[in-house]
Amino acid sequence: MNCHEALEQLDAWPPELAAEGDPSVLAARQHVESCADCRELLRARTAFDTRVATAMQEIPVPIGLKERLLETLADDAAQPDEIPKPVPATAGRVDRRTFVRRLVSGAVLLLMGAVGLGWYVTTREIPVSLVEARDRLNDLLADPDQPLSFESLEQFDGRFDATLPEGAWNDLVVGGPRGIDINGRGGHDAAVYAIDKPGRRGVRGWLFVFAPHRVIAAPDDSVPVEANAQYLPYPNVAWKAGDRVVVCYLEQGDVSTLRASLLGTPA
Amino acid sequence: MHDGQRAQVVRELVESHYESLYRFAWRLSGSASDAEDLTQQAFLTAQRKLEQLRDPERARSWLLTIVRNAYLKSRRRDRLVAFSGMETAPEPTAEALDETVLDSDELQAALNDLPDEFRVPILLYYFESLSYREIADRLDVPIGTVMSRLSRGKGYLRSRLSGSDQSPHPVGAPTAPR
Repeated sequence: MNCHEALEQLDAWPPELAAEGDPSVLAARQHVESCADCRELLRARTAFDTRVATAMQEIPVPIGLKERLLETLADDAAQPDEIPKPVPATAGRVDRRTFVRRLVSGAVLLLMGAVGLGWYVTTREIPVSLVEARDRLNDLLADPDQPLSFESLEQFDGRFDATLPEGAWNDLVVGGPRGIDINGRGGHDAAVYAIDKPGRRGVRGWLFVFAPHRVIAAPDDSVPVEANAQYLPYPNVAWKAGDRVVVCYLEQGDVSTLRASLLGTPA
Repeated sequence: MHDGQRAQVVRELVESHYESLYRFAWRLSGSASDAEDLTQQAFLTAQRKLEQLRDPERARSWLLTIVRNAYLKSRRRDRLVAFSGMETAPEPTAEALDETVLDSDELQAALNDLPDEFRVPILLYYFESLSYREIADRLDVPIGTVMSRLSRGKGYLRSRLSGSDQSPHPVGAPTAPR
């Protein structure tokens, strides 16, 4: 192990796990103990870390902030709960027969509307832009109250052929297809696969597979490329695989390792 | 909890933690006005969801989490960052690190250039003094991801603040908002 590798290893290893006997960390420690330059650099980095932690707190707090906060909170607490507005009195009275006729007409119209809406919701597949799809997936994955969980998704309803094309990347898939409703209209807009390739340069995350006619402005790329990646709050990248559009969210690894895994070539 | 009690608890939360929350929000957002908005938003949320605070000793951590979530939610639609990976900058020598005078504004400028994926764990590490495992739990990411992001983020801060990195956006170049 050389100086660079030893310092890199110690830099990445969590301090709270320092006592655990990971072989690579032990080797790094042994190197540092025998190398005066590394010892000196490690000392300087640790001292620098402490100074950064101190500097983080060096922010002047605006005068009067506490009073402004307390005032806002008092105002908020004093807001009465929403009181329903009183229903205005009927302007004119109608006779019983007219009332019944209107009631029946209204009920029929309401029923027709409900049937039409039900048909529309269950059968019409509204195209979604790639940007909207990614935003929605971001929201679902990073929901602070109930983040998306693969296990909680239903089996994919099979409304389009979501079989993954042949290729080395099939080895990445460890679960699925499950289905997900992206636009909240019911039914599955995308098939979801879990991917996991363990290892130092492994990748883990989600594949969302869309039918091509459901995605507006699909990417032209046939492999994931960094220029096509977005990064908030999860790193994600979209590309076309066969006639499908795939969006991959990475919990571990980056786009270059994903591409290498998909193509079956070294990163 | 009746209204009087609730008001008293909220008042105590403000008095104990408003400075800390403001500083954390400032480091996250890089702006005094955003920091004040985030702080106010966090306390309003806390007041409305006070029942969620079961352990008063964890109040600071709870409030900082509210700030972080509010910040990330506001940023989600506002900023698109092109992923370019971390460019390798030369690591400074021990002498360069020792001689570096840390300036709060320069530190903030360096933080501002970090994508949120790096800035948030960096702040949880330096500002909240959380362990790697705690950061992984808070962010709901594997500890390996935390190790990678902190290692790269800390290396970037060392290079940037000691002057060995001359590139303006070494981690991920922010692009124009959508």
